[in-house]
Amino acid sequence: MNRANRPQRGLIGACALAVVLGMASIGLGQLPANGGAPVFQVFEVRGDAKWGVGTNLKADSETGWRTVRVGDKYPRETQIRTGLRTKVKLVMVPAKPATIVMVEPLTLASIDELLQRDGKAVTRLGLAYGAIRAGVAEGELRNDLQIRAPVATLSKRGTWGFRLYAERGTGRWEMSLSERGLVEAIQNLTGQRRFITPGQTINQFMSHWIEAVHFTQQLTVHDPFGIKGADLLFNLNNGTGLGVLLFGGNGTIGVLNTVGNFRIEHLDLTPGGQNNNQSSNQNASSLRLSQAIQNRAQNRGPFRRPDGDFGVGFGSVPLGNIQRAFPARIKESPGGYRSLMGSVTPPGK
Amino acid sequence: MVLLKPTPTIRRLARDALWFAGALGLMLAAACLGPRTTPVDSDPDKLADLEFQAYLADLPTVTVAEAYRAMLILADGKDPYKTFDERKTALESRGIARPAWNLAPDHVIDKGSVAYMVCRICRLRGGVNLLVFGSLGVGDRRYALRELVYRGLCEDSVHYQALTGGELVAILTKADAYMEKQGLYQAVPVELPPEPAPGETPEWTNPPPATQP
Repeated sequence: MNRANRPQRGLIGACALAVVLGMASIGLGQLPANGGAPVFQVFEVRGDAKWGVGTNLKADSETGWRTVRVGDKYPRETQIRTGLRTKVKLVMVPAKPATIVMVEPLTLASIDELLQRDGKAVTRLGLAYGAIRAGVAEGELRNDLQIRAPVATLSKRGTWGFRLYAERGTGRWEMSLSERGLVEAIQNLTGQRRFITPGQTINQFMSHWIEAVHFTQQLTVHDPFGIKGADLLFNLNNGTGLGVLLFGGNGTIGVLNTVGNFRIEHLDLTPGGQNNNQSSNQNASSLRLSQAIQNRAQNRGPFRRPDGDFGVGFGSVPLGNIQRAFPARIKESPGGYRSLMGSVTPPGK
Repeated sequence: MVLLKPTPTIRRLARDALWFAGALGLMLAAACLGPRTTPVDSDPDKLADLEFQAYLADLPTVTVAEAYRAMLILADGKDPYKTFDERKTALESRGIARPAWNLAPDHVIDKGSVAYMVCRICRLRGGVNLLVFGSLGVGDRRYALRELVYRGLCEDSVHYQALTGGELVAILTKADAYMEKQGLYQAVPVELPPEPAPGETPEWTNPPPATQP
């Protein structure tokens, strides 16, 4: 062996070892040190997901994309795409504050910014389409986290369980907050902003939650016990679907009153209203709606409080069968509600 | 020969009959949208399943071949077939697609056909109209779309309209979420953990180390 070649062989061996170690680190998803800036580390993976670094990646190409694995660390400019039946859970490391992000199925997302600045963690996530759900715990360090989609931006204020869903090319999106905190929804096109609190959702229409919620669930916004007459008829026809139980035609309207019996509104009785509890099955006289409105306008009783009892439990469900099955205990209110069984003894008497 | 005088009643009946025939023809003639005219950058036949799903998102319109492959991925999580004929046979044998449609692979697919296939995959029986007319084949796609709209899986529109790739991806996303919620496929649940208490260090802040490739 030539002694002069020993240093050269040693140098070559050291270089080869360095190359192998570098390649091994990249193959494991461990990118070179990020200068101490936080990174997102994969905590859990279900299904088929891929990641890539850079802004020139093609989403429908395999070039530059690698399979997501547990323990991978992703710095800024990392893109993640998931398919159907796939979810990826990412945790910010170091956890200052503890931040967790879940990339939902069929999503293309990116980590745009990830740094610590002015005593707070700044996180900017991009969402081309799909959904991201995340949570930021309270900690010593504040986390200024935003999720940006093409048509909307989600900005959080110390929150847990917020979600942004955006569709590709349709302009439809939805934000929601399930657990705690406050989320600000920003419509990118118009700059319109709106806050949502836990349990609320908002979409591209940027309407108040109370205006949109009745499209997704049965929500009673009127007083079902206090209203009667035309108000009750309107809500039956437009809110509950019980309008099919009513008969109509020829301008004659029958309504359900608060006592519970199916009856026609009697507005021409004496102001004392002594005959209000008579069964309507025997007395089926009817009033034209215009006459009923006229009677009310002229204060011809009997009347309940026109603003109802604000749902505090007086009155009964306006269905006779339910009333008989579950008789309610009624107390007299200042508005003079009648009991199911007759007159009421005022409290204290 | 006595000619029939076109009285107002006869004119009204004739007008109504023409309207009904036109509506019926329109219902039966759904999905006849023709070949896609906008060129695409990639060849979907050469893409793996994950890349194909990303490819769908940017399509201006979706062809029958692409939709059939997407439906198989939605139903089974993967597409083991290589040709359109194999996918067509697989979908028709399972009742997801109907042979009577006779759709050409390079033609643009309509929302109604996609809705019908999604209903079959998600096992949505629908209402009276879908059960009666769907079984007869007259309004199967029309009422399937209405069922998806009712379920919140699709936005309201007409069944004979073409759909974009973004709309198809949105339907697939919501259908997948519905299937997972209904337990139509086995999956390990992955959800956000509960929020840690102030000062508490949750175990998920120490993620496991990198795994071997």
